Amino acid sequence: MSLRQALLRDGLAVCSLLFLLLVLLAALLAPWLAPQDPLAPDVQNKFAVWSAEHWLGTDHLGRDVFSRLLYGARCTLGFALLTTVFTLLAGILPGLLAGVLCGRTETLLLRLCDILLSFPAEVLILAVTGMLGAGPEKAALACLLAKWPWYARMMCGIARQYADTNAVRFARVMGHGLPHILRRHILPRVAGETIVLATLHTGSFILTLSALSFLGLGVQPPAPEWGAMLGEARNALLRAPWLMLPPGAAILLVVAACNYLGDCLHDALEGRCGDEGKAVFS
Amino acid sequence: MMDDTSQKTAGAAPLLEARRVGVRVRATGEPLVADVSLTLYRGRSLGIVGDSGSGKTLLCRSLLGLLPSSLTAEGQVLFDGADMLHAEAAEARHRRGTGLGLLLQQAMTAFDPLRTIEAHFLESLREKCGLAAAGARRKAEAYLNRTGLAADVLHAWPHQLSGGMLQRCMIALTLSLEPSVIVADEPTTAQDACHQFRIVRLLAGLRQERALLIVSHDLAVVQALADDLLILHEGRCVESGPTAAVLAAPQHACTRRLLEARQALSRPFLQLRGGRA
Amino acid sequence: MTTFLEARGLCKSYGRPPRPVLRSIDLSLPRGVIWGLLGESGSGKSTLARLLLGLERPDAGQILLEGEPIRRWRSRHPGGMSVVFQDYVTSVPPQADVAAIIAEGFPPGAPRPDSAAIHALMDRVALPRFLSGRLPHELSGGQLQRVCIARAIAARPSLLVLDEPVSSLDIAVQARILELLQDLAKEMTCLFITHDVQAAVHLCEQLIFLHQGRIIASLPREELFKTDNPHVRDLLACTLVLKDF
Repeated sequence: MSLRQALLRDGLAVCSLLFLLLVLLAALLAPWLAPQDPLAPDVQNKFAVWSAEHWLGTDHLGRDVFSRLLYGARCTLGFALLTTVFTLLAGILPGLLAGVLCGRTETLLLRLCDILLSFPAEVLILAVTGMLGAGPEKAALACLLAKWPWYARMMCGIARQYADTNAVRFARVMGHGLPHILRRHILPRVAGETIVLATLHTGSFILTLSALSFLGLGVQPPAPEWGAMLGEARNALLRAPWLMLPPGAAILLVVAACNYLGDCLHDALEGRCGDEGKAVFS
Repeated sequence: MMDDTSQKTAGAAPLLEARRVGVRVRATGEPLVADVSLTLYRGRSLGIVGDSGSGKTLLCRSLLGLLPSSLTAEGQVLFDGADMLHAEAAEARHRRGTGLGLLLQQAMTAFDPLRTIEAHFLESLREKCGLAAAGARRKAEAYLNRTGLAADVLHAWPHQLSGGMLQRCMIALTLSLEPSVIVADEPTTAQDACHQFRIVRLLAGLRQERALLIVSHDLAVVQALADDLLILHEGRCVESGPTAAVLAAPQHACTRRLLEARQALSRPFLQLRGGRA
Repeated sequence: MTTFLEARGLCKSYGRPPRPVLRSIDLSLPRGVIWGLLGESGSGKSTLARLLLGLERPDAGQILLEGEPIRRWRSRHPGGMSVVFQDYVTSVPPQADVAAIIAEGFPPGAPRPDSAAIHALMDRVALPRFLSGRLPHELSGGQLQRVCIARAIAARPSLLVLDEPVSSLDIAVQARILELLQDLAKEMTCLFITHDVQAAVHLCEQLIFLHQGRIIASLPREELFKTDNPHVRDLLACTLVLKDF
């Protein structure tokens, strides 16, 4: 059974995937989909409730919340995906290399990771943003610095396990180089696990980046971002509590969809291994 | 299925009797083993021979009531008055060990890596035979000696022993429970020539007192151990009878093929040995 | 006959405290001979194979191929040495199909082999061509080992190491694979590692016996039964054959 079939069998996983694709599409098409300019203030009309003109109402400056949500998705998802991709690259490459080469390279990398991992991730992120200053790209860099050792360690262990097989020994005897071994033997086998990790971590990066924006360390006003919108809504908590709902629900749903999809991918990969096991058995 | 003469020589009632045993995949109904019957008497041994994929291991597992939940069994396996195929899990478990003993191919994975060999012996002997620690230890030592191991392997951890030693530990453990029937599933396959030879000799010494069911793809191993032979091919019994008779006049093409392959493998060796004499 | 592979004083230990697995091995293999390396499990056969293949470095001693160290020889002769392992399941990448697995046996830097070249190799190891798109778990053990053999001979290596290639297979399949190897190994220097004397005399002209990390006997096949070495005689006595019936 292929991964795709296993995934398609689970209705909720398909829903999660479709929902995420829909949100991504909406983010990409925000300039065409958004009914209003997300930055244009209309102080006369602030704290408006939901109406045909302002689908999700307006915020404390009278800006259209729905438009801000659409543009905010670009920022939130964009930075989360970028962070995931760069963290994967920064973690996986050294991790795989260390796992395949073993010896001193591996020891060095693992000790470095141990040191970095001994700081709690949140503290490290706050410290780095504190040093670099506020801004979405700096928040993303802080996330990357805090999380790459985790990937590197993980990938090192996985790669070492796969590097210690006869298939890799054969390639070494034939005189194939390291790029060949990584491309043919290691990468295809870690791809599945990497996708699972990436899906789960995109969710957690959305949370972290939103939290930093909420604290004022990430995206700076007036740019729309879900965490920043939540932070602005907090200031008007007593006057217009419903303003918390749109950005809060958006974060909740997207993160939940990422997590559920990650879990399903994990199960599907496990199931695939299980099927292979059964084939050997019978 | 069994030849009449073997029944007469054994005399007594059968210890283990399988009637038209079949194994199917639960989801699809695809048959993996079909319609195999066999009878095992005290003091006799039966060899089950076939290629890999012929259903040998599944047949063994169904005799012990140890099929995985994805498979279903049909037919009857009578042992000690109970049907192992349809008995309650607790009842089947009660009869394994002291009644039916199992020897596996992979001794490496049969032991818990976090416990010493002694712990395995003490637990099994306490649970199955109700022996206290001192008695269990004496018994374990006695059986380890029979398999050619010194008593100090009791204090070893599984990873400290070689595959051959673990295999002998497993044989000693199985025997210490004094089962009346021993089911040996490819007990020599993962072993090198010397260990294989020792294990065959050890099992040959045992079959006088118990009944032995030996499963193998190697006719030489089976010839050394089994009085009767059952050839499995694609889940079906294609030939059975006394070992010497089957080997002397194989009826089925599959038996002939197994025999020829075995002879072809030994031919250069035998020619060299003959050249010396 | 010129010396192809020469090893002097090879030692290798594992673990802490170091437990010697090989103790001063001297070997000299002429070109074009099929050698059998025999011994019980734990005698150091597979360790010696890993050293000769350049997969591990010896603690002491050196290995020369045509007078050169392994690494330099290998960079000058890509695909010059090859190996078949006992465990065929872990010998192949599980996600690659048969054609891709065999293609890996072509030397690095050579042009990508076309399907005719793959089919020719499959013919040589008697694998039906329609299997070329199958994945490893769809093949039987004997078929998968044939794939590994096809991959190993693809580059026409000068040195082929066979590390227990038939020990995990059914007897019926063993005989057929040995026949195949007998046919293929004629053109190369071949080291056949096994614990099974029967399989070794099937294939090998020269037999080397290893015991506890030392070479205890090295003799031509015809003199196998003339030796007085107790360990060799022990191994011969342990060999199980069909008795007359």
